[in-house]
Amino acid sequence: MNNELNKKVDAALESLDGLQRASASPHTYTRVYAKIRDEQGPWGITSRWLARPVIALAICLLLIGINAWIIIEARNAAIAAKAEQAEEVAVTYHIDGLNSTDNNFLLP
Amino acid sequence: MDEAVYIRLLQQQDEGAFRQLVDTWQDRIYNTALGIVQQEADADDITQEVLVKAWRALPKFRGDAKLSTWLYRITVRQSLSSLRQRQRRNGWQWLTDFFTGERPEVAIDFVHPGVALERKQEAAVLFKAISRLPEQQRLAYTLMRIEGLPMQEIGEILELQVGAVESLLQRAKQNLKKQLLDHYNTHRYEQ
Repeated sequence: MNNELNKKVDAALESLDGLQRASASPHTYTRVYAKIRDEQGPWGITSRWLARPVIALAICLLLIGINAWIIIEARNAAIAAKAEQAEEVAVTYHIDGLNSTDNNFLLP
Repeated sequence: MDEAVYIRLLQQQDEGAFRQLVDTWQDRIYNTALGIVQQEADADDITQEVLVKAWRALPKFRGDAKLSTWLYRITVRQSLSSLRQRQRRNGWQWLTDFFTGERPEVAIDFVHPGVALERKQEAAVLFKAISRLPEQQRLAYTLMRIEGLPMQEIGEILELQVGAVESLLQRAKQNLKKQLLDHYNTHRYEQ
């Protein structure tokens, strides 16, 4: 029984003897050439340039920077608008001279 | 054509020289990739990718290694990367199958198209066993048995000493024998 098993194992190991090399598709060159042509076109060059890690990282940082700037600017604009509104109210009701002690005149 | 002139033309990305390179190398690249990934469609993609990568890198080819070693190295790297991608895909496949309700695909036994007809059955069992070998053993065994490379060149491709390649091949054979024995023991009453 063991002998039979060993024979099978040897037959499997020898099954690659005299193996013929597999052939690639006959259209390989055409496909490779098309890919190379695509890469050399303007879109190919642009996408490869954008895909470079340094460029991709720089673009990410730039976008984060622009976002941060927009948020800060919006917040500043909101604060400025509030201050302007408060000033208008103060001018309208003549309360621009009041300070904390004046506001507490009801306190004992 | 003189080898040095040919390499200089390749470095200058001469189309004629590149065509010659593709004609000479496409079958070797495909055969090596097929031996490693054991899937014809993947081997076809790898062959194209290796040749495109070679075209891109040719201007930087310094000739430190032989052109053959350089191309085989790109092929091995690309094949391993393809295998890892497949493993990652398969890793998530169960989740996709769970949600889509699809049944997982049954793995088809791979047989290299160059195997003699009367040996295909044994070869299918052997290829399954090869696919279970540790990565370095699998590469060394494939490069030797499928691409027919000498140990010296396998060492250059895998950046190992000849002794290390010899040891890898020895261990690969032992592992294969063990796996094949297990297989035939389990399937003793079939056929």
